[in-house]
Amino acid sequence: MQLSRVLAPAAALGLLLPSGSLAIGESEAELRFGLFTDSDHVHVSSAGGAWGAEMDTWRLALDWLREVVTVPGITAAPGSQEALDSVSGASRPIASDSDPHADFSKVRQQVSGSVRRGTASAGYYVSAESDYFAQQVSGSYEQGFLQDNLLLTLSGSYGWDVIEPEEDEDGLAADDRKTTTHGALVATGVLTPVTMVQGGLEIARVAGLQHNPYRNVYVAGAYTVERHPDDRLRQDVFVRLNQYLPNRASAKVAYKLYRDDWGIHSHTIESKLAQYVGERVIVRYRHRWYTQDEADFWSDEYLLAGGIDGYRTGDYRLENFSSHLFGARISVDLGRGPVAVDWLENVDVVAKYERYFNSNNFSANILETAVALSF
Amino acid sequence: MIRAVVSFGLAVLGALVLLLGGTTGCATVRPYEKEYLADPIMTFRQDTEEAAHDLHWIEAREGSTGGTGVSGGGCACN
Repeated sequence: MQLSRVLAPAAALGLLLPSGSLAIGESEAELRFGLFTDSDHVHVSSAGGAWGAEMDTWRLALDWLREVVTVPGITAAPGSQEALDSVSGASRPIASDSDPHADFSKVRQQVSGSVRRGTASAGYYVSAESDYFAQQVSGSYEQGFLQDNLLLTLSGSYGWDVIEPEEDEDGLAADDRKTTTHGALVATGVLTPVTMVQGGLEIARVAGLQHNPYRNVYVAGAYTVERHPDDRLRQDVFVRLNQYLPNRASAKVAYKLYRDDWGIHSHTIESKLAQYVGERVIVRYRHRWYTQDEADFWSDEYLLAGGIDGYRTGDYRLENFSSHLFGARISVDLGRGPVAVDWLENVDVVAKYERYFNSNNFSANILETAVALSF
Repeated sequence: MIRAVVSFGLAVLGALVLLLGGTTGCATVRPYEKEYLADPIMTFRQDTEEAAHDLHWIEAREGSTGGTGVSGGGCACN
């Protein structure tokens, strides 16, 4: 069922792609595997791939992803905040005939494709889960200035999601919808032969269901369903600086300022240091620091029946907290170096380990591997 | 609300133009001088792809979004 919901629109996308006498030029493919585990004992295993090719003046790209999310059986009372939510967002429903103390698993399938010609591109995305079906169309246009030392990119997208909650004995089961309209303007500049800078502005308007249909909140002495506003305007600006360093290394720093009309403001600072080790190995270290303040309607304890302004939330993403992400990534080009193997030419192997933790006493381990091939 | 969006956008756009236009306008880097900029450890493309990939699970843990210039598709991650 889920697979067909993804494949049908993906096949339609294939019919729209340029075909016929186009000759396939340089191509590249990638296989990815990931494992995500967190301190709540949620596991997300993923397998995905990507393919891209030049076809005359066209550039085609396809990407797919399959995730299996396993949320452990709850140890708290069904319907309580402690029993719900996970790093994957796989807040679980509890059907009347199911065992809330048993593991809950679900699968997400995702396919996306894009086509580019010259400086314009268009894309389509589809994602299916047992209780969520999302689609998105996108487009972008870029223009170079100053002998391509300044590149401006204007992009936009529209996504429409259908939420179909599974049976949940203490939640709301009504279907609902959510739409997201997103626009971005990004400028990339070359400052010197070893320095680049990028800045961007993004605006997104989200309309529709934005709370968790399975989550309940303790309000005025009793549990009731979570309720968030149906409209959210999100804005952010970001700046990135890439600097090439002596001895074949690079340093990257980035900053993002975010705000929305729910009252959340956040700052994100990220730094990366990459270094060649020999001819074929690249080691990269990364650290990301994030902090945010709370939404206007967030509260540790709701004393009035309606919550705050009619809204109530059990979502800790809407409270004041900070987080760190750090780790290393290593990539090996098997086709380079003094002992290169011919048949492995153009093959890259990548492995990444990162650890995430925040001031809410949550932590997660992220392990990813990938094999990339160009031909 | 619209006024706030417009003022915020204009302020940021002005800052971007000043930052990028001002700095890149001072010197022109010729194509043959961009060898280091094309190195995989220097390009923005990899960062954007990685950030877009991370967005799904990070959005499930944090209240903000963005920072990539591209929009991630929807999922129950949120």
